[in-house]
Amino acid sequence: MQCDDIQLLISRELDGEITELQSRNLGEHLAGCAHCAAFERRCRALQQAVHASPTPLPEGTDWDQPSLRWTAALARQERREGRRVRLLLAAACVAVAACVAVSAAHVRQRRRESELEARIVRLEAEARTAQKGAGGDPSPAALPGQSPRDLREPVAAFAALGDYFGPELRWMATDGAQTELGITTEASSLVATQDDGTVAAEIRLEKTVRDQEPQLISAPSLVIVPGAEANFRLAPTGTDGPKRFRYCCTLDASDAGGGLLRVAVQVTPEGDDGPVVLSGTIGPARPGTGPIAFTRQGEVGYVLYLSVPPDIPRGQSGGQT
Amino acid sequence: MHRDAERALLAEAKGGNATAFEALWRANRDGAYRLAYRMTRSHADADDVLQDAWLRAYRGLSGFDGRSQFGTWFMRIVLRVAVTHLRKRQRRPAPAQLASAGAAGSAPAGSDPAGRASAGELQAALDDAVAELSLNLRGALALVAFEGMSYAEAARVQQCPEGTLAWRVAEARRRLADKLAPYLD
Repeated sequence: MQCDDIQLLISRELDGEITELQSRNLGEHLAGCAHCAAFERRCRALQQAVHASPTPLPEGTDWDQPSLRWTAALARQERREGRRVRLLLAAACVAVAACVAVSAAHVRQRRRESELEARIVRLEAEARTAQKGAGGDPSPAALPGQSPRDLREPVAAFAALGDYFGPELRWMATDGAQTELGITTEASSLVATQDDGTVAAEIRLEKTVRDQEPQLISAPSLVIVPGAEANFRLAPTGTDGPKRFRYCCTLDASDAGGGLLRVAVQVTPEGDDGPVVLSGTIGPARPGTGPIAFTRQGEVGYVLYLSVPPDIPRGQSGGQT
Repeated sequence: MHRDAERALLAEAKGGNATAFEALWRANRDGAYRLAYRMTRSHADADDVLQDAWLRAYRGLSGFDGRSQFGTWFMRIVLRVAVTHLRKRQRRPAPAQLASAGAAGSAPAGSDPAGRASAGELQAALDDAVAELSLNLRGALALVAFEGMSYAEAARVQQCPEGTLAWRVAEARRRLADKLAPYLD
């Protein structure tokens, strides 16, 4: 081999980009060529000098998050381009839709409140009957440390959701900031009351990033019992690709008192990110509308609105589809 | 960063999530800064290069198809911005610095009686010699020798065939070895 070719091999060997055969040829040549052997020594010394000269990196908050100021500059620029007008229009539409939903639901809520009261009374009566061994529909047993009444009210209310709204509840998951950024998440759940008073639900999330295909994230059926812990896994459907998210979730629903259900969801994304805890309360524990706030640690998370579809059939409970 | 996590962040960032873009930035900022500094030899210039590269990456994210890693794509932008920056400023090492380091073949001033240069002198001479390399050779050396990139990845950054990249690195070493022989022998 020519010395020029050997010098190329010397460079490759320093970078670990050489084959075994090339390495053998190189060794044989160096053993007999003083010129190339000297060049090889210089290159190794040069490589040591390179490794001994680290580049000092900047320090401080400005280096740690320099893009904050760049982001602010970019945001100002985007506003000047008229994007803010579009965001305001979108927010106005959401607000109008929410007002319409609230006013329509208010009328329905008054009617259903009275029906719920009747159902709770019936469940309590059934429980008393069951305790007396008189048969009838099985009622949820109290968890240790809880009186039947404390347990039953949120369970009954939650269970009644399936009865009042039928098998499907539509949960709109929106976040103000993410809506502006073109990311929306819709959540729907199929709710079915069980004989033991617990509620089985299948949660389906659909996440859409602006200009991209919607991504479906669904969970298998889970059973929600106040005070208990339910584990389920959210995994996206579809093929592998750049739009994949995975979360491991545990759902803990407990009685928060005052007719409220406390719900905590721990989301652990797969990958380098650490766990994120979403927690909030669902209330009041009765059918109707009400915000369910899920706040990530240190960030504004999703706000889930429990909305009532206008023509949902009543009194139908069924399993998930 | 794990490739799956990068893809997830990339999808979020393409949707306009600045937090996700910030995460991508943090995963690649150190290597990008070192490359910018190696090219410009100035912390102030490196900061300017990085800011320009960041803005270009942020605005051009929708055009990134994800076939290569984000880091490779971002480094390509940094390199291109650094080259443009240098061509505008026409930065060259001061002749006085080379003269004080001594002409090729003569011992550097201040060396010990044994004739071997101190480490500091070698570093200074190395910096000066790197600055004399052409932009292509300097970039190839920075990516491979300083950043430890593979030839394949560095070739993607420089958008050249791998054989060309290998030649550039070897040629850069050849020129440095000739220039710095008094320090290396």
